[in-house]
Amino acid sequence: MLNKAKTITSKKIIVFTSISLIVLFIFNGIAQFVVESVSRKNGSLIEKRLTVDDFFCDGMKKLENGEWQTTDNDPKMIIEEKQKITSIYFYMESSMFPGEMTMYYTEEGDAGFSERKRIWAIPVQGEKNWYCIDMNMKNVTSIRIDPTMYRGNIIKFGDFIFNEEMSFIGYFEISYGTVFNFIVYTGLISSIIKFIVEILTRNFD
Amino acid sequence: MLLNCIISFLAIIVFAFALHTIYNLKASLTPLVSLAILIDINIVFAMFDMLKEGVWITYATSIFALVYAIYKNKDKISETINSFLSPGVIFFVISSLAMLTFLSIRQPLMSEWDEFSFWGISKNLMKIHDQLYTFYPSSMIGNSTPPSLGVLAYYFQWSVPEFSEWICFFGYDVMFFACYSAFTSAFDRKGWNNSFFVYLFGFLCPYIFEVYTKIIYLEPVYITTYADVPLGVMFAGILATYIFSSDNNSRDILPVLPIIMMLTMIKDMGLALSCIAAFIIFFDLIVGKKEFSFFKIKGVLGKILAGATMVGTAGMSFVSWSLHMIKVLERNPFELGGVTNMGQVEMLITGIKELLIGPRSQKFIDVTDQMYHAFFDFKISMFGSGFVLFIIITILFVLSFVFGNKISKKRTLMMYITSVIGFLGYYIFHLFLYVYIFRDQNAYGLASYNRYIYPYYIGWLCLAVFALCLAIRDGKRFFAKSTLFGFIGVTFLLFNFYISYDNIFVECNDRSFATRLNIKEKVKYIEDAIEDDDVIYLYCGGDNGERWFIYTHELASNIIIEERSVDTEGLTEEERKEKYQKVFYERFKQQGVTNVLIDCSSKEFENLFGDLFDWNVGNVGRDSMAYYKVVYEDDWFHFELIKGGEVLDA
Repeated sequence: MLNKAKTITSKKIIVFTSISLIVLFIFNGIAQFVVESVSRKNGSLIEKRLTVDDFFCDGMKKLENGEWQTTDNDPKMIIEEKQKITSIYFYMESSMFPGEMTMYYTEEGDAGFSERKRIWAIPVQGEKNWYCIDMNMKNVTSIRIDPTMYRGNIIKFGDFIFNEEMSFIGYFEISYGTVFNFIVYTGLISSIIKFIVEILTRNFD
Repeated sequence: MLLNCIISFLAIIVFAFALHTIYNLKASLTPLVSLAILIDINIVFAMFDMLKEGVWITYATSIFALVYAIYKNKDKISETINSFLSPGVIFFVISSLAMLTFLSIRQPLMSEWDEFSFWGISKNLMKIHDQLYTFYPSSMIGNSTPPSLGVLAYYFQWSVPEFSEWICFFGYDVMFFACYSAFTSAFDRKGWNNSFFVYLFGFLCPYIFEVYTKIIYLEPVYITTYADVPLGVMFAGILATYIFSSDNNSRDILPVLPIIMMLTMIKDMGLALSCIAAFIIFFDLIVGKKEFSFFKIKGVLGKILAGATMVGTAGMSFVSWSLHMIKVLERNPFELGGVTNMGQVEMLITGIKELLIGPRSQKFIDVTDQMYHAFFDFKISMFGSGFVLFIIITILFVLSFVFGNKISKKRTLMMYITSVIGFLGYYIFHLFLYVYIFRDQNAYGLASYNRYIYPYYIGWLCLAVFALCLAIRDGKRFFAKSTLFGFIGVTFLLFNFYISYDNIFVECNDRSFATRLNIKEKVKYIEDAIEDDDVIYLYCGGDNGERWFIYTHELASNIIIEERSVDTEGLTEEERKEKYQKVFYERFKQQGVTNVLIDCSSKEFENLFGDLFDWNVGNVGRDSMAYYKVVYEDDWFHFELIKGGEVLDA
């Protein structure tokens, strides 16, 4: 083993790591695609469009022009949804910077919403005022969305799209974050592998 | 735009290569030293009102150095290129190019308060006028800060048609990456995995001290123009440049000098940090480099001279900026101003006296008490409070000591002692600042404590890692390496825990810049109504000051006069209105105000001034904007509308 370890050069390590990460990325995309497609085919994953009126809204009041205004610092929008959810896309314009936009969910057997089952809404890159809650195929019983953390915020809502169907390419979306992670993890993992090789060959540099 | 960035960047690399070839400077140290020298040259010319010419001269210096380097080493060029491409340099180039790609596409904006009161607007002014901000009047309230960072930003966009905020970020990031490259100088290409870990640590440093609560909105690390991270990272860069040099003569000290000059010219605190660096380096010379000779002068005298040269460089840089201000601004910069209007030297003397001999004022006792507790209680980093950091740093130093060889043991111990003393000095200096310079409301509660103190922590933590690098290079490799990898690995995991969604620069989006974009839209609407020489009074109803400062930045080519309050105690409604109008009339006349700009009106403003406007100022709501001309007639004034109305949503 020692002799075999001696033949592992730095170049080989880096190439191996980077290719492994790319393969992992592709594999992850395919796996997600397959799981979601199967669920859509057998009916357990349904695409749905809702509006703000389908929610029970607490801490918010509806204005004459259809917009909503939050009346306290913890507005909540609750809906009972017994289904599998992979993503929620929604459109929201607000008069003030909304701060944290959080979503809580309950699963089978949960008494109520808790901090441990919480996901943040992220703005969609390139599409103004669209937000995405990434749920990764969770089987939920109810959802609560906190659209802002400030009182007096005037909000105009658009559609709430549950489980929007994504094209095949969509599963392999490369964002700036993906590139950043790729560079950092290639370096990190290669460095650790090299360290292990050094330990094995007892030849530290 | 990209072309300017790329050419300026190439100039730094080329000059770095020349330094490596001609002067035989360690490859990983060259980006930082090269950048420091080129920017220093630029700063000197800028102070003589030749900012743009300074850039040309730095390009010329680069090219000349390259030509000379190639000429001198015709036969060994490929060898030199090979040794130049050390891991540090490669990481430097990759990071900078990756960052350039990201910034030029995404083009993030500045988003923090003081970027509009000084740090960002100063660079905007430099671009508009092609001169340092000391040469002309502007809306900027303070302009006594030295210009390192301004010149750095200008260097990358001098030929670009319009001021670009993302290019400022790029300039800063190139400087950070150059420092991180210097951090890795203990290792050569064979030890690339050590270099990677140290470089990664450098990259994480700003995050360690900026993100310590889980937040879901943007933390503008790497996309900000604040000077606090530059102070800390450059301070660490100075230490790295010295510690990893091993020529045992003046060549260990000379590369540090340009960096000291640049650090001192970032902010006043840079002088303190430079002096502390010199202090740490001096004692390292005493215990670590027995054979050291400074320009053929051996022994303690040589070391003293080395120390004096460093302190002298810092001092000279500081004094040259003060002289510049005296000459150009015609003001005495040795007054720090503030509550007690004390000079810097006076503050130090008074402070030391009060600290050691007494008697102590109530404010002194209270603030001392607060600072003492802050060390233990304020969370200042991802790891925790200052005290927790101190423990971590101590553990790293202890392990470096245990795993080092004989010489590095001595050096490690001395570095620890001198850095602790340095911290005490730095901390006490800030105590004096809080007591004598800051207003009570900012002193009690220690305003901006984190931002002022963490530059030292950055340098201190890096120093601990450098001691560990020495142990890896010279001592028990396996154990020291495990410690390094372990510590940085844990830091990286912690970083992943805190960083999520859109609080890291790669995930920044328009929501973070909502106010900026709103104001930019309004400015676009009103732009054509504003003339170059207009002196403007700006009113932003319902604003805490943020919008006002952002406007001074967006309209930097005009002067927006300072807001000052009017004392109306004990007056009736009618009398208040009269006094306000009278005081404003006097002020407008005195300052030569030609126009009034209304971002958003308010009930109070309408009550006080409404009758002076010909177009009802109450019309200006959140989505509207109005620009009026001030007409002076018969010893009084009134305002006539030039342009006003609703700003259309895009």
